[in-house]
Amino acid sequence: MKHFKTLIPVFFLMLTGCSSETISDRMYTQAIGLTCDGKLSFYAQAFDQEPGAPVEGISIAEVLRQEEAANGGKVFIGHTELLCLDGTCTLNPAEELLFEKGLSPACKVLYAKPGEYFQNPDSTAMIHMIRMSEQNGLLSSTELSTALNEWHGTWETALLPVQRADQTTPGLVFLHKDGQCTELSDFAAKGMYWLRRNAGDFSMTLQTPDGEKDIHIQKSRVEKQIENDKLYYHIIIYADNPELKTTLRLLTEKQCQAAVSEMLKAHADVIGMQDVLESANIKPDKNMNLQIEISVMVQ
Amino acid sequence: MNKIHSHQAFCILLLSGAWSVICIPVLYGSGQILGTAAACLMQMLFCLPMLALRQESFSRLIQSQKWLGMIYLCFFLLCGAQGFAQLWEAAPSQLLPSSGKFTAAVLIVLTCFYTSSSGLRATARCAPLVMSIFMISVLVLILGAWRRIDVSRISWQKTGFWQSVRLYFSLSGELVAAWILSDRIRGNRKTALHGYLTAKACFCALILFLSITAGGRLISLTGYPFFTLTALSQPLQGQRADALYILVFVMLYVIHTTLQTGLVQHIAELLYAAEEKWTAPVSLFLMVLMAWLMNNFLIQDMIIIIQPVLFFIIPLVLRIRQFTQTIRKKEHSHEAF
Repeated sequence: MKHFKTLIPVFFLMLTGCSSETISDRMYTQAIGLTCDGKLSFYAQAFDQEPGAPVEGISIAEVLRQEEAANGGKVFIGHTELLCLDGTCTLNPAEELLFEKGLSPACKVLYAKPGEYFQNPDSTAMIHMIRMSEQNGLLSSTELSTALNEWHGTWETALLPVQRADQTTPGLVFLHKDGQCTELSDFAAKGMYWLRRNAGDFSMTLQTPDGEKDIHIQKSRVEKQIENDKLYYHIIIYADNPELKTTLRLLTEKQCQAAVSEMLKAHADVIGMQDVLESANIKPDKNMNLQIEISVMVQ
Repeated sequence: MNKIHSHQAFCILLLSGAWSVICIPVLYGSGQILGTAAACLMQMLFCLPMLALRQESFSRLIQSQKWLGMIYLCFFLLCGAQGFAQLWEAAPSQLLPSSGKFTAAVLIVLTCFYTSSSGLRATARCAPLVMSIFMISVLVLILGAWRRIDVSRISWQKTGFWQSVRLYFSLSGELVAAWILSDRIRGNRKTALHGYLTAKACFCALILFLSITAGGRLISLTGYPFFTLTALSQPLQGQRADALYILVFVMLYVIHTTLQTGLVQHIAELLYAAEEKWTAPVSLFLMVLMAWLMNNFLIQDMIIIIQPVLFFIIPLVLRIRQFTQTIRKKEHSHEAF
């Protein structure tokens, strides 16, 4: 029995998984794209490599196998930073990629036509652009897990960044279940930044009668509540320049109101309205007439 | 007799309990957190008769009532079978997709054969080490989920309250284990048991809280909230935490199963007054066989029905009997004077 026990750890050393594959046997994707025009088309770009030709199949598992055969290496999508989708596929295959194929929940989802994006992609620049825009308060934070959460809500709409040919920074679109999308105005997109989640630690420039002045936002917090069937969004911003507090408050209020107005017009919910309604035992309905009151306080 | 220290007993009970918690199949709603807290308080009350008994009560009881010992033995076989059914249902699609369903299960069961043949004391000695790895994984889980927490998703409603109480009670085979092992525990067994109950309830509440607030609607899309949470809780951008979760998942199952096989061996030793080292591996084989042949819901229902009898009613009856015997003795001594 003793000899048998000594042999067991030796046996388990063979199961570490380090012996069979080398790093060159694998394809670590940085960006992937999907379209569903009749058949599923899969686009992939590995780190520091040009993308190959798209592969086709009827399921995610099949297109991954096709990609492996075409590429000559096992496809690993666990480190993918960018998922590119358009209105043909919407977010439907993303769930399988997240839960069964190990796609990162923090992966950015870009609304773009994969056929066009993967012609000449600079995924590193695109990911950095999205991340820095989010950090600098120019773009509301979006990622795969938040997009999927919105997608499975009553309003079945997700907020995604979109590449714009005429602009340096990405914009935002509402992607609907039927594949249609509605783009937000830049002004409303800034309001969405405050409404969606607690944020902060960036500087912004404000227009004042005395010229342009900088203000540093330390942090911001959004409080949601419901009273008499009316939703209240209270935004508290902590900033360092006392002279600019009123200007900032008025601007933020207008931006948030524009964001809410465009969101309701697009029949979407990307600011957690459903959670607030459910907390008050109100069953959310896509066609319900919602009243939203915004208030901003700068401290 | 091989004694287990109370802190080792705490670790082994908690790790075995944690396995049941990570295998909770559904998330009913926010009321589940309150249900867990209520169930924990009820269990603390139900444990009072067991704790009021002398440490050697169980050994004496089953040596005189062997049929009762057989019921306890069957109960742990059922618990082991339930554990294997949970492993079979939960693991393959979530954490062990690349190894394949069958290969992964076979390797894990082989590990259990090894640990069960080493005995319960060996497992108890390594339990604090496993506990530290488990704590690290919980920390990683919290760190990964932290950014995604949205407290507005929680609403303090009754949804899932009673289902949660029922579910939590069905996952408490360790309470029966705590009574059976009481004569083997060195140190303060009351602290170990209360510590286990509190820590398990906290862990369960944490998993439910993170599932609701960080997972949101995604949790209800797939079964097993814990495993969905592990897919969402990746704290590092350049490194996935899956390996840690897989390690903890396997270790918790091994500890859970080894506890059941160790208890079967302990009861068999008490019943037949003979030490047989192959009892534990044979009982593991029986557990796998039972899980294969019996319906999982049937096993769960049987456990729910038998469990309160084993850790509450029998100790309560014993305690009442002891109490009446003490009174009678006092009366006799008075009469003698």
